Amino acid sequence: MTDGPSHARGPVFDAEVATDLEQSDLSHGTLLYMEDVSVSFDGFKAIDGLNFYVNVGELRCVIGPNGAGKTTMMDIITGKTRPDKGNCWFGQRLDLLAMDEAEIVHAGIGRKFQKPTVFEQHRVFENLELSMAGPKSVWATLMARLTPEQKERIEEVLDIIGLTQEAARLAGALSHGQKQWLEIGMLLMQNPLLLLVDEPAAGMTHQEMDRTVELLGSLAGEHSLVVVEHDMDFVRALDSRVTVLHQGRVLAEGSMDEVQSDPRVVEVYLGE
Amino acid sequence: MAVFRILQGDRGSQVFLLALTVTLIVVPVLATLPADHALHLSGYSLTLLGKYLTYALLAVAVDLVWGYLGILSLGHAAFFALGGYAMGMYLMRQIGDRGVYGNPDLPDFMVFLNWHELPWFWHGFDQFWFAMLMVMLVPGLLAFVFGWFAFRSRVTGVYLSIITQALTYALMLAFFRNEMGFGGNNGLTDFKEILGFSLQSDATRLGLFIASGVALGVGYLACRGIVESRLGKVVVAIRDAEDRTRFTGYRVEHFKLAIFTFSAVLAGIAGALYVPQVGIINPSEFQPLNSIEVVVWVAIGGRATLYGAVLGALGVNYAKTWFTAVLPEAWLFALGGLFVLVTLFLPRGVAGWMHRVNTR
Amino acid sequence: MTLRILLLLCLLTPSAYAGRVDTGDPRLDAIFRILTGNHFADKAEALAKLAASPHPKRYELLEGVLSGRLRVLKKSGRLVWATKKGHKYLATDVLSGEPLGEFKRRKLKKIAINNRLRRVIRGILATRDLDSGDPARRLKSVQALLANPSPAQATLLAPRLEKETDPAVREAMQLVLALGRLASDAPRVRLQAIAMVGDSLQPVARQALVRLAASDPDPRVKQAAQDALGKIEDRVKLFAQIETLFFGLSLGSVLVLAAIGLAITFGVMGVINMAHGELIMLGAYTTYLIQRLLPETTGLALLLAIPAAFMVSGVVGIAIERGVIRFLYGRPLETLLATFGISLILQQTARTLISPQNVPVANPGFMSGSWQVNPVLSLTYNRMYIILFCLLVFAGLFLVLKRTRLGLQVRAVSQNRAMARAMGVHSARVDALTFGLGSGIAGIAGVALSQLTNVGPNLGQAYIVDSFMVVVFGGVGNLWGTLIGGLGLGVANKFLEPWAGAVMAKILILVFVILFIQKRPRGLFPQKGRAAEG
Repeated sequence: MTDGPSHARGPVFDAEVATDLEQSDLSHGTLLYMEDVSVSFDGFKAIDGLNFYVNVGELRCVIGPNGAGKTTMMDIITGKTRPDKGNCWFGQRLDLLAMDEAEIVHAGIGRKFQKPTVFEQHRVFENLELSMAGPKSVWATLMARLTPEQKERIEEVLDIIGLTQEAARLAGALSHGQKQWLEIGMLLMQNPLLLLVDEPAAGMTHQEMDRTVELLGSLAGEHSLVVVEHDMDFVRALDSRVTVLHQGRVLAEGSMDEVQSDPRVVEVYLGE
Repeated sequence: MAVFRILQGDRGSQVFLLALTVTLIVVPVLATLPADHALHLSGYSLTLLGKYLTYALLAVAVDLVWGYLGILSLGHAAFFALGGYAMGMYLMRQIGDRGVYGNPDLPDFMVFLNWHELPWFWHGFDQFWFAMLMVMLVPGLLAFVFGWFAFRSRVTGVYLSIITQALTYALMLAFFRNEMGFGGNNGLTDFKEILGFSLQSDATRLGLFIASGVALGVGYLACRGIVESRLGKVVVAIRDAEDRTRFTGYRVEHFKLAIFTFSAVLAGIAGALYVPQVGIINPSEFQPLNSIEVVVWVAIGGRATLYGAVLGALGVNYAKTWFTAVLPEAWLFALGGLFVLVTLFLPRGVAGWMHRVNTR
Repeated sequence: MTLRILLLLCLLTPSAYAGRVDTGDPRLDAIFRILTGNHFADKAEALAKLAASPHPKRYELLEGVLSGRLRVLKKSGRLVWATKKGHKYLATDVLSGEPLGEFKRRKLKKIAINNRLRRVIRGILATRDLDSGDPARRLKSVQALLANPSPAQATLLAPRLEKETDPAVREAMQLVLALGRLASDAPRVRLQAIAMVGDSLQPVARQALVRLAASDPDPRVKQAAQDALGKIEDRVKLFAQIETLFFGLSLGSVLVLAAIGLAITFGVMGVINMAHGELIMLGAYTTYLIQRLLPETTGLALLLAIPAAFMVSGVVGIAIERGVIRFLYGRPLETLLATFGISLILQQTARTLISPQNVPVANPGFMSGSWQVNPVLSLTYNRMYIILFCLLVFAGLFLVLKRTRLGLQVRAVSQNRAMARAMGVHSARVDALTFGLGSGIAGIAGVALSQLTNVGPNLGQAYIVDSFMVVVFGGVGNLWGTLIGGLGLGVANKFLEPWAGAVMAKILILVFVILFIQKRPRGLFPQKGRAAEG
């Protein structure tokens, strides 16, 4: 984690992914394109003609009432849900709709779930070790040995997420907030270009929240981040561009102040 | 050495392997004592012990997929039986013209069914190496194909358990058919010798016992090696948080497929060692109850420990032998009661309970 | 033995008997003179004449000829009934009933007939109900004619056909007439007859057509016969398919009955109950025990067994839920193991308390027999009752779930336990009752199965895999899916059987379901919505 978003990935993917992205991203400055995406469940339009773009190094917050399609949007980006129509590109050349979850991860998209999901039966250190970028085939993992550089990298991330003290504890024994951080740390281990962070502040104390704002803020620039959050104070603290989703579409986009003064947004939040 | 690294910090495995080694040294000595010696081990007891060891290997295979990978397979007895059938076919061919009908080319049951030539899938089974290859290949291939479909379409949890049960049930029905060419109802039996050694002789029994012990030891170490590697950590990660693992960049299906197939091969080997010791293999080995019994051995011993599986297999089977001799009526009550009590009161099995007691 | 040889001799050697018959009725005398003679060729005609005569005792006489009891007293020429008494025969005058005393056998002339004549007589006797007032008897009698087609039937039936009003009888009569005409010498008549035979499914009609199709001298007749045969074959095939469908539906109903309780416990509650099969077994044993209590009235016992089995299995189910399963909610694999243990205990209980062998369960009278739809299709009543019973149970269960308060609570708890509890639903009670309901239905299924298969300790095991297949195939949590899935699998199984064999068909179905689940893990009719994504 030194100077750019596209380094230190596994040798297999370095050749085909990173160079592609470097070429396309640097020329356009846009990392993620979602255009005219729609998906419905049993006639309920979860996403309805959504257009959404994320720039390289940008920190973006996504807010919206329940059922606005925030989580579904992340499902589409990470390959969990296939849209009925629309395009979804990562950089200029990678069609996310044609890739499976693992390919998308290797291409450089990491995701934190709404409910903190860590490997509870593994130690914190092992959680990070498993998340490390690199070859992830069955044989490679059977033969894998931790190199000193890798160990160093894990310790570095432990430091970033503030869990150095907890490295040897079982992840299941961590507090809720610590699990959230660990999950963000696991994303970092993948060296992603884009981090999708679903409700990082849920269930956190104020101190933990402040620490999280600091953490996410420090990651922006080197990585692109999309943060979905309900807590308005938290979003305000992140001080970033905000996208408001409503009924599967973008309702408004801009700074927190701009968005909050938008009458349509006010109506959606207060009118319900 | 790799073995020591694998066993580092796992007291249970160390104790088990030590005990296994001691057994493999002491039992041959006891078995070769003169028959009137007080400590003499009869051929019957030897075979019984050998049978337990093959069960233990089967239990280890099930523990790998259930305890670590989280797939409750209710069809592992099918892989065990398939390995057994492969071995049985070799033993059948070894009978030669010493069968009841004295036909040098066809096993008795084929003569009885008025068949005139050996079905194509019986060819090659007169060769030991070929049969041994099939012992591993057939269960492995079945597990691979089954897993390929099941894991790719993300069938999980109880659904997967139920279709593994359907798999072994379907195989049982199929093997009951005479047309299948595996002896129908009666299966394969009346074996005479293996690799030229009479199956009745005590020396051969001892040899099979040692082979079972060695197979258990090697299979155990292989599983332990997998569990200790990063692969093992990924496998547990899949068990605990499958989606997270997938979004961490692992192709979960490949891991499941690899472990499931490996486990099936182990089960096949166990079955192959089981058959010459009990002297028969028939379709009832496929019955769903058998697979579930294996799961219970693992549950009682304590899953995700490997040595717990061995402990459970040996303990339950010893109890079964004792009950069926002394109180045959009560065995199913006891077994059924064990299922209920263990799931209710010992969710981590005996191994988990011992661990708790130790750390307290 | 000697008697038989003598009889044989009588038949073979030309009799010297002059043929004196004296009954007081000249027409009768003429007929019996021919019958007692040796010209077998004329006898058929004589018999037909006798049948056509208005004589009140004509059928009795014909029966007498057939049985050999009717003899002619050589001395007087009177017709007598001969009853063997010791070495002699007791003779009674046929017409007056006057006893005539004992005679030696050779004093009585026997009326010799051969097999062809026997057939003729039987044919005639069969028609005696042709004039009965009861259409069913008329039909039966016409159908009897079908078995022995002869040209003489035309004269018998043609006048009656005109008077006949019952359509079924008319149809049968026309067929008989047509069959008679098939033997006509004129090709035109034969062609007409083929058209009249049409697509009849009677085996006789088919045989006649096969004969014509193979060897009629006239090519047009031959062709027409072949076409008609083709049509008949098509209909036979169609009815064979209908029969297979019926078998399939009845098998499917058994599957649905066995699975529907599971659809509740597994589908609605998410509990894997491996003891489900044994709850079915309990229902079957309940039927057995009630029959033992009421040995005289199997029908009543069966009806009583339905609520009793529901109670027995239901109560055992509730006990299982309260005693074991409730501690394991959210741990489906553990539930599976624990309930499997329970299934072993229940099986062994049946073995110990009742018998390790199968026990006999009687079928009441209304379950046996069958409904003959037409000559190639008959539907057995027990299968029909099973289909009906299955639909009734399904409808009942459906109503309970949709219309009762318990049903509402069950659905609420199955969708969102926490929310249901927050709304004041006593979820523990609902769980127990739901499980009891599913188990009770399993008991009812056991009553039905007791009528179809062996009742023994292994009864449940035979159905548990099938039941799970049905529920999973139909889509968990969907009663309609279970119904459609069960019937579909049953029908598919029966359609596979003819070319794959029974066991292979079952295996193919299992493999199909295994593959199907992998293609559509949520079954035929998946539960929808975001919540189901889990």
